[in-house]
Amino acid sequence: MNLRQQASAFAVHAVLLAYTALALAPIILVIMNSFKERKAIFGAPLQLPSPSTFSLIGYDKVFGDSAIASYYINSITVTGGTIFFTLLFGSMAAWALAEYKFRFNTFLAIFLAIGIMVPIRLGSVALIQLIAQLNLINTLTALILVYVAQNIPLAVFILSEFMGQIPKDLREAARCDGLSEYNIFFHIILPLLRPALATVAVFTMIPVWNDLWFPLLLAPARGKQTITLGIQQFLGQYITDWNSVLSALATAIIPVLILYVIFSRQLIRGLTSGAVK
Amino acid sequence: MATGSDAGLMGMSRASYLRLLGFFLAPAVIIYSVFSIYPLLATIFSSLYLRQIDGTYVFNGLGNFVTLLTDTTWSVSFWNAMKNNFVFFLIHMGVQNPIGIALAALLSLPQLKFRAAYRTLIFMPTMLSVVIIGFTWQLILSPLWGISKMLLQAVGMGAFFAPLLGQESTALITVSLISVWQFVGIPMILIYTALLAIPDELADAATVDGLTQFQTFFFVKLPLVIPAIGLVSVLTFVNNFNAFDLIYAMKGALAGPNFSSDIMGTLFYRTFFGNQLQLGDASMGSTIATMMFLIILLGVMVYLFVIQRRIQRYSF
Amino acid sequence: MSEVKIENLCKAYGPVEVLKNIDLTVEDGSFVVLVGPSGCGKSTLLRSIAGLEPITAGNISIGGRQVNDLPPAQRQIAMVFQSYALYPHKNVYDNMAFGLKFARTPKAEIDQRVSEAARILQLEHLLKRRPRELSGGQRQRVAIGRAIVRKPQVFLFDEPLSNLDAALRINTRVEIAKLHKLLKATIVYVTHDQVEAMTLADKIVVMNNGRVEQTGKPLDLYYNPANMFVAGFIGSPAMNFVAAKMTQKNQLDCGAGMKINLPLPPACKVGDKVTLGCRPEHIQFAAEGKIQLKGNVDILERLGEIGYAHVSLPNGQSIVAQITGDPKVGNGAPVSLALSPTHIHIFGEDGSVCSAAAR
Repeated sequence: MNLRQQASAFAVHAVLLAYTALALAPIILVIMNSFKERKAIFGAPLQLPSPSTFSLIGYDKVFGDSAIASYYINSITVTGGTIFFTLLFGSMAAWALAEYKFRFNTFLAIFLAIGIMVPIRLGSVALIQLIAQLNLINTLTALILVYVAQNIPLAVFILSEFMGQIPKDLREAARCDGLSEYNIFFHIILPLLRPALATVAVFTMIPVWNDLWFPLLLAPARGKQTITLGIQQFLGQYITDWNSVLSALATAIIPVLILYVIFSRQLIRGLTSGAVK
Repeated sequence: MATGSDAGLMGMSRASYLRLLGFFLAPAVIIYSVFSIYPLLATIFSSLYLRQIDGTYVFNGLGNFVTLLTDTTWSVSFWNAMKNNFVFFLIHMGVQNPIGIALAALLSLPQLKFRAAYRTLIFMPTMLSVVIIGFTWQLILSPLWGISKMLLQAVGMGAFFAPLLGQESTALITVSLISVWQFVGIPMILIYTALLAIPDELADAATVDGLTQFQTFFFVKLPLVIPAIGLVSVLTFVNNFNAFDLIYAMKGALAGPNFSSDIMGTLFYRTFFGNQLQLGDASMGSTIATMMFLIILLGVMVYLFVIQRRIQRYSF
Repeated sequence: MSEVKIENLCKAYGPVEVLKNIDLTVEDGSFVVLVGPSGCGKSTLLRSIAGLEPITAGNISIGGRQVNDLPPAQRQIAMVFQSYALYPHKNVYDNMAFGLKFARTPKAEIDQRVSEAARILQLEHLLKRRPRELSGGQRQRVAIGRAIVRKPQVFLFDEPLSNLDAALRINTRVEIAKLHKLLKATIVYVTHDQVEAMTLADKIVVMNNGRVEQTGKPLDLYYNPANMFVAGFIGSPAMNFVAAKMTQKNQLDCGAGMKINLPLPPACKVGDKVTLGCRPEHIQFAAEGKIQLKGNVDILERLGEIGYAHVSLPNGQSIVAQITGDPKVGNGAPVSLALSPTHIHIFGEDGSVCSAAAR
């Protein structure tokens, strides 16, 4: 490597490092200060917590609010339920659209594709009335149903692409082996679709976990809030209590960061494999 | 590849073929139709009705739209939200997407070390809830905490410190930039992917032709990722005109100060649910939602039928 | 009895006919190879027998039973796919046992059939492996094993060797031939490679454009092709064709002053345009002989024992002659070619043979 190349490599890393710092600084700042006592938060916000400034008082307040555990349980239930049904129903529909010829095949594919571009949020006025008529207001079921409806189009789209990559011979070998169409799907296709399902699961998980709109509209009652809504309400309530606010933010951030670290390879691979085009 | 005809698969009766299709398609199609398409259509439909004092609804044709666009009780806030939303969108297009392209270009450089680490870390804010991001930045920009003031002073620009979120002139731009900060990962990843798809030989050929790395990017690679940039633009448009969470989390439903950060999403929420200043109004709420729908539809159509058709696609 | 009988089979995708009036009988225990260029319909025909493609008209029966509307699983066939189509998430044992499990075959019988097949194919030590841990040849054997355990009436092979490298292809070809002898199975085998067809088949079916061009034993097709297509397709290098016109009784004019005297079939009349065909192995460098052509050597390809000379004729056409040893001729050198009179084929204007070579 000559001097010029070294210099340009250095410049590239300088730019990327600077941007990475910009991306991470606010997050680190919040997490760092959430472990400090009030005086240190204001006096020396840029310093790491030291033995003299370390404090968990904010977390005491956050976890003292017994609801926080239920926020998590609700979020996990809603996200888990949404992922399960989105993957199941989405892959079933993708299989039928990819494999079988019937009159409304193209129509159905386009019908489902509308949902990729048009946000379901815009139907909120009628949706809230529908959920009320179904007696599902303030239930997690309502959230799951809406999120499954919201995520099915993209799931079908991505899974159809992957379905096309499973060799046709394999399905025909299974037909020669005497498997029913149902068994071909559940015993051959679904197991082979596992990497694609993981990608779709990650794509589904993040917006659902982070959503504020539908929990606010459909299930705002005490005991039914998801973590995003719960934290939002908690923050509104304790806005002047900086220890609590920072701890609440950190409480919401840390699990997502852990999940992200675990799934980032999956996610980035999904994004870069051209699944979304 | 389909193996059967409409009549069914080999050796399968029409009835059992239809049962098969029903089994696989019905759950997805029913849930999607009932909880996504129906509410959307019903909302558009109810924008044609007007709520009376006694709580009943009468058909009003396009009257609600006329009211929204011309009656000053509504039109002032509508056009304000519309203008703000365009500013919000233009800041994303002008700041988020160029930064995203630049980062993607750097990440796609050959022999870059720590590529995966940069990619993962820069994408991280995109993963977090908009609510959390909103509050985090609110704290950082808060004059109470004073971190931003401290940082500006450290680089000798203390005089520029201002309560950015609290001033009418800066609130919208500040909120937009926070959104840019959070979502820059999306254009970065999509364009990075498109850049990776370009065969190395092409860059090698350009090097042999005597182009610098910089020239290679601008004259060889960038033209080839224009389809990805088109896609990023339409995604940005749809997301921006559907945005709500960030403004709601940072500025509340009133999108202050004095509605200076009000966009379509917050206007819709305020109109539909009501707030300290007014009662909820499902008719006008639907009308605003329908307008948002039409704007997004227009954007998608422009993309599909004008932009995408003109973009030359290349296969490698 | 596991004879496959195909009568007047037609298959169309909309207006596009891909199989036209196919009649074919595959005798019990015989090895029939469908061969032809890509797109000729040979794979479609095989898939129609398997039940993977619906047919438009005609009849298919297997073992005397009409199977037109039966799904593949009920046809008592087994298919070996070009890509092997092994289930990637199942090990070798489960790949072979998979179909039997769904047919609710008793466990003991599955075990017995799988180990029998594994023994025949020497797969016993690989039963616990996943397909991706196997070499191409091993995967191929698993695919065949999966077919064997089904005890089908008919084995269908769809270009099974085309994904193997050249050396392995020859080995596996021999294995398949042995297997056929051992199992006394009825086999329908599709390939585009005429060498595979010649070496494996009891009967070759040459297809082109959705039609059967000719059916017969390998050497019959070689010596007595029914038309120019078969003549050109079977044999390597391909048969030489020279355009000619019958100017007098028993004389052909090949243009540029090249006249050939030979007894012509009675069907040919003076004035007919015909094509003369002769395989490279039936043309020699020789100054004497009943049928002579003169030309200039363009290039000599020496393969060792034999070689091929590409020779330009005065009429602008080029033909290939087989050479033995190392004739000392340079490029461009004039040569005389002798065509073996008993191996000359005369084709009419429609491409069909006017008579078999007068052997």
